[in-house]
Amino acid sequence: MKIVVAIKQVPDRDAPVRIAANAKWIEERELQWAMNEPDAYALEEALQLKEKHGGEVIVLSAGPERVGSTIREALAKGADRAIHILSDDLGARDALGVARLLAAAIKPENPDLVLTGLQSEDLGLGQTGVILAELLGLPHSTLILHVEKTDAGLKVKRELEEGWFQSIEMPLPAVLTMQSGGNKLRYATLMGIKRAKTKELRTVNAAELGAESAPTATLEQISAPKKQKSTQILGGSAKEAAAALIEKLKTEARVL
Amino acid sequence: MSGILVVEEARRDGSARIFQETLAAGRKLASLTGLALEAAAVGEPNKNIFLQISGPAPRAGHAIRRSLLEIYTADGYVLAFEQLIRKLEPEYVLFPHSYQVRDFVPRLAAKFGRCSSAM
Repeated sequence: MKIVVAIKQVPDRDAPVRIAANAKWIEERELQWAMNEPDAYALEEALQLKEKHGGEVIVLSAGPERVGSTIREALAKGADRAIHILSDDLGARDALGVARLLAAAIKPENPDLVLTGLQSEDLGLGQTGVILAELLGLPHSTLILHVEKTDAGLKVKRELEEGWFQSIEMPLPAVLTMQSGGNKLRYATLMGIKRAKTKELRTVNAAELGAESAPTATLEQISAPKKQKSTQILGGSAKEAAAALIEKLKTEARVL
Repeated sequence: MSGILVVEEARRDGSARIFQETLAAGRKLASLTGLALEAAAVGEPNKNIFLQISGPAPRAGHAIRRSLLEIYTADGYVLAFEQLIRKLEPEYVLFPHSYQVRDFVPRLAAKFGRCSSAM
């Protein structure tokens, strides 16, 4: 099975995040970067499928030069080769624009399966994988915890709301967006890190892919959540205060 | 139509709060833009969500009836809502922000060369 895994490099969870002066994105200088966690689970699933059924795992990532370190990490974990879409203006593209870039790089590979995380930890849009399926003309399924290859294609386990799960059978080729937690992530071994240096890493300039970049949605402003503590005294009788409290828990705190 | 289409995407037995919240957002958008509000749902018109809408009624309700849509599939729902949106041509389409919507709406928006705005 030939599997393409689309991964994204995002700010490390422990990195101090500061809003840039133009308030349109975060200050990227001195930031530590890491592989987007749901994408790491997508990679793990791909590696396990390859170990069971054979084939090839190709890692695909878009972004500036620094993305190379995350790609090398994926190669060290066991991916066979990688494609780096070199783009310094990824932040100016919307999810459709990013998906167009990825789709243009994936099409010539003609994979059996495309995996990616269900969403990125920085923007959290959760759209790229689904749009990718549309652009590639492939069936898709999201929030996948487990993938099993069958004679007819795939059997996947989806996470639904309120603790429910769904089992779906679908044909190949297909696109799946992976939920975190379905597998135990592997570490790169020393041997894997050594081998990664000799594996193929093909760099393609975003402009060469010919994907339309004009965004249909633009990010106008970002802001940090306001931290505030406030105390409200609910007046009236105990019964009236209790009723007001219930109403606030329902409509404002939304915990009931 | 030239207006706002609020969609109940799931075949629920009762009126879900998530749909009522979407409807409330649609009403707010309608008051800001002056556009009319319409609603759409999958299912029989006499059984679906239209009968349980509280507050001012939308200008019209659209029921998508098709036995193949009785069980949710992303490709089936994308096809159904694409046809409805192309027929009605609304200015805005609002969906509840549910797991199911996240499963198919980005694909639906891409059919129109657009991105959806979530959350």
